[in-house]
Amino acid sequence: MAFTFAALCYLLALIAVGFCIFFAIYTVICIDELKTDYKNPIEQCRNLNQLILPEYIVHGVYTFLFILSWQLISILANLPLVFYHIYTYINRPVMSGPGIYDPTTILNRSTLSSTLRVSWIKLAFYLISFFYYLYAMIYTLVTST
Amino acid sequence: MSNPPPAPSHVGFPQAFGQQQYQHVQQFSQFAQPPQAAPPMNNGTPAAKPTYAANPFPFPTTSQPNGNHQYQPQYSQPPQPPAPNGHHYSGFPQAPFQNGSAAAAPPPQPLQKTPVFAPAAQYSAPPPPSQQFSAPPGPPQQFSAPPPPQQFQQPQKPSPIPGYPQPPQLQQQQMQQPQNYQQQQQMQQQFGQMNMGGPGAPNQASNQFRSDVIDLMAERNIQQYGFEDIDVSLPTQLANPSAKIDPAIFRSTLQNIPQSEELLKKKDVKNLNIIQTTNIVRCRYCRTYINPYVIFPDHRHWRCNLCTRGNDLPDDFCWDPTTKSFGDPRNRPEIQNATVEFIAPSEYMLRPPQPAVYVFLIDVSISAIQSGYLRAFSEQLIVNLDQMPGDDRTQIAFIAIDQCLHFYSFNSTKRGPSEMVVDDIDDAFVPTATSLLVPLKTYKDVIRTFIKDIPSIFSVGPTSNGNCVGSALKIVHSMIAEIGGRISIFQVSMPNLGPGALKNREEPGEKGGQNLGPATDFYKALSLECTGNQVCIDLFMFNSTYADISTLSEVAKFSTGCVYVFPNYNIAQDAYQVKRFEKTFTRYLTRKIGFEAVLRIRTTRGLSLSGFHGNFFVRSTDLLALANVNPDSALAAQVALEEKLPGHVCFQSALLYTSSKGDRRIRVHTMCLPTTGDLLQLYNHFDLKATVSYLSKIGVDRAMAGGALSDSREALVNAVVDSLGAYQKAMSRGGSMLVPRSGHLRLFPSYVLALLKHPAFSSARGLKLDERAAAMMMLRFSPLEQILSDIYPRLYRLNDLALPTCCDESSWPHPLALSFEYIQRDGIYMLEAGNAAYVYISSQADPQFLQQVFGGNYQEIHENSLIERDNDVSRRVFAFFKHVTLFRFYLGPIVIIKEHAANRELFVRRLVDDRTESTHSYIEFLQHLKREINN
Repeated sequence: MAFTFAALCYLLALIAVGFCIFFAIYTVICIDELKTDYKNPIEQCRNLNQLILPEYIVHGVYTFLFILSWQLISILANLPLVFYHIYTYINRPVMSGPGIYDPTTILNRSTLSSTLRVSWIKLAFYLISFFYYLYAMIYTLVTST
Repeated sequence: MSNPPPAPSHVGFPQAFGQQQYQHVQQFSQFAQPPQAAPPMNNGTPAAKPTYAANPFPFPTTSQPNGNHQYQPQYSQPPQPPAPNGHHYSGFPQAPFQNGSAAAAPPPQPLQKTPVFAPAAQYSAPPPPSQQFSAPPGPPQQFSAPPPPQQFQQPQKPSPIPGYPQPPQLQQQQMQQPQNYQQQQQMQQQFGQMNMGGPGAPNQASNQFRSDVIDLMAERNIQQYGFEDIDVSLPTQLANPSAKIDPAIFRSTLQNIPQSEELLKKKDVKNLNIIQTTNIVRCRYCRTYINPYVIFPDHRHWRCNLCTRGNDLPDDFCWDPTTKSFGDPRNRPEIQNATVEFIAPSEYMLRPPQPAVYVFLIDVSISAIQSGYLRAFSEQLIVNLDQMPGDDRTQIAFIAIDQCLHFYSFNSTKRGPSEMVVDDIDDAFVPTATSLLVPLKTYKDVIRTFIKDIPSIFSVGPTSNGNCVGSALKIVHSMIAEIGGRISIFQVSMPNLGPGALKNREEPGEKGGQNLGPATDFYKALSLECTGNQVCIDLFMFNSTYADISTLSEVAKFSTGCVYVFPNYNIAQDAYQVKRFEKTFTRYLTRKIGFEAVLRIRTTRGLSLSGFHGNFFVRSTDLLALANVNPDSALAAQVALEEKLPGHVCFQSALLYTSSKGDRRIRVHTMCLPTTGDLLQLYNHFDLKATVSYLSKIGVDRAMAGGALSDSREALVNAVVDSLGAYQKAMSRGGSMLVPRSGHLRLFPSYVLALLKHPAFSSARGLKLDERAAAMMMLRFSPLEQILSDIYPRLYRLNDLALPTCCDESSWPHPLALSFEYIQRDGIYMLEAGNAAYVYISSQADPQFLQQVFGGNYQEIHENSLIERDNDVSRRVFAFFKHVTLFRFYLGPIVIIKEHAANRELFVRRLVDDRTESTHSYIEFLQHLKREINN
């Protein structure tokens, strides 16, 4: 049993994915508040937009670490999400600050529900990743000689 | 419908209504057995109904029941089958028909193109045929289809028809049909014999016999059937089923609600009931305002029509303020009228009502001086200064923009203002805290003199070609953020300095569609901030070169602003735009205005609002924030169906605003519509006016959000293909394009074709980007009437006005189809097309008419020939012009176009049913649609 680079990657990813879970939960809560309470969409979007780039970067970094340590399953699981992130950020509405949410369109029923759906899916994905990384870290620690 | 038959509601299935509902199946299946086809019997539909008398913009066609009478002489032969139960149709002396059986798809009769007018009184009695097919007031829950919810969650579903599930009830009816059909046939024979015996029967019968569908491929002149509004009837158990909302204010794309549908709403009203009451009665649960469609189980309670829960009625609600007596709560004005306005108590205020604040941002860069718009601006502003809405607290400010900001500080009531120039536009500041925004009343004389001097102040001295409107807007916003108000921008050049500077994005030879989205989000962010502070920004554009309207208009888009564009404005060369600007600006200054408004739309449970289109900021899922409201804008809302609906559904919009007089008011519009489960019923209640406006708004929003223009165009075609296709399927007959005679479906293809040729969606080359953006903004916020006449202009033949017997108020010329087919060589025509009105004179027009109206022969007519002259014909013609242009402030002065003149293209371009190099003609478009449907 040795503390390999792969195990280190999993350890870091474990911490990082914890942050991502927090971001996803926060997004779900914010969008739901928009839907049910009379929150101001401008403020709500500002709060959400602040977290977009950190989340994308954190996710990108640990995916990159997996590529370095060549953890094939983790790479395959994360690459689609990386591409999705890049795609959404390129196609974001015209805005000067960082972020992807536009307060003028977010309250359209279709936008709102699709945003909510995306954040739920992401939350589920991060949760599953969290447990998989935990398992994979222990597995690499135990199997490596 | 004032007195619908008493429906034993919610119990069983009354015979009369079963029969009526059934007939729609019957009436369309008749084509399986063509010759003996029978028109439906409509025992249950009363004849007389109140029409929308209060409609402020009546369509000229609506005064005539379909305008059919003109074709009477054509159809005097008796038809082959004797009209069966013709006595039901005695109200329709001159109904057009197509040889009795539409199934045979006869070749089009050579229709007489010249309408022969007859005295109106003769035709005032018959109700419009569309009423024949109005909704049965029976227990509609029997027919309300329970649609699968996921089917209606789709965003932006322009036409709800395609996925329409056949309700089981309807299928049952179809199974019963053969047996009933025999009975009907027996009756027909009996009635037929009776009719045959009567004197004059054949002639009468020919008129009475009519089919209920029109074949679009065979019937060219689709305009002849008119375009009147559809009437609906409501269940009697409501408190006041006869109360109707003015369709100019609040209308639905479907007058019978099946499932997903959209609403269009205008914030404009003419006849208003203002109520001052001690307590405003609202539903305890959903906060709905009491309205004519609630149910009174007894005199102590009322049941909310939106959430169906019971409420107590306050004691004083039985007090009738108009007669000053206690009595029936139904006599209250809230119950009597579908539109009411409450003067709100202090609970409805977050802060004391704001004063009216007007700020004028005028461009004085070199191109602005060259265009000379300041002259018209100052003239009109002086004239209308006293008419601007507002109380004694009204405040006003002026800021001129070129490469720096010029502030005008009014310090004394005697001396003129002192000018302060701020040239640090990147980090601009307000030079003085007071005296820039001053009360109009105190400084009226100084302000008057200043406005008068504006053109001369800026005609001399150094000018620059810089423009820093972005920085000016930021400063002005900070100046009036505490109060709110209205900023009017007069912009000639593209902003090229400071924050919000723009670059030329116009690409030569572009096909269209690119760069319709904003270049920067500076203006959007600014406009959102402004909305938060109740500041509205309106934009007047006078540019002759590219000025990026698509980006600049963002300031208006989210702050409830208006955008008015006067391309190539030049005081010396283009008197037309000058006059149009004067007219628009006068209306702009003097029209009513409301401040710090919020609009909430409530719907019956089972429906929910899923999208909004227009200029405002969506504050919450059902709440819109409007910094200013004015009577000349409209918005659309999309409604999604979530669960099974009751027999009728209601929509209530409540607009809370501060009037210019400084009191808080709530304007409540309620609309009630019956529901139906019958697909054909649905088609009969398809409201094209609202639909076209809605489709155009969706298309504009899509294109301006960065979507490809071709997608929007495709979506428009798909909308008409889907709805027509579903109808052909329901009729299960191929080979032709059938549309119901009632309802508006028959006009759908021609309007969509016109929309495809409209500058907003046209794929023609050579269209300027700004021109397209301006057209899109117009579609985005303008009221229905303006949009409709811009999309499908109205063409009138004026020759008949020469006949002394011809016309009076109620029988003006009817609109013709927009094709050269209807332009005759001796004709004189008027075309009302969006913001322009034209008079077209053919070279061989009657010289006497020309002499009387234009004061000369064809050669002598010039652009100023159109003045009212002292003879009957001229007076009649001008009365007609007035009738057409009344209330349409956006219409420019009437332009004379001679057949051989250079500006003929202006007229020809608007004949949208004809083909051009790159576009279909109407017939080609129909064939294209047919191919699409058959695929």
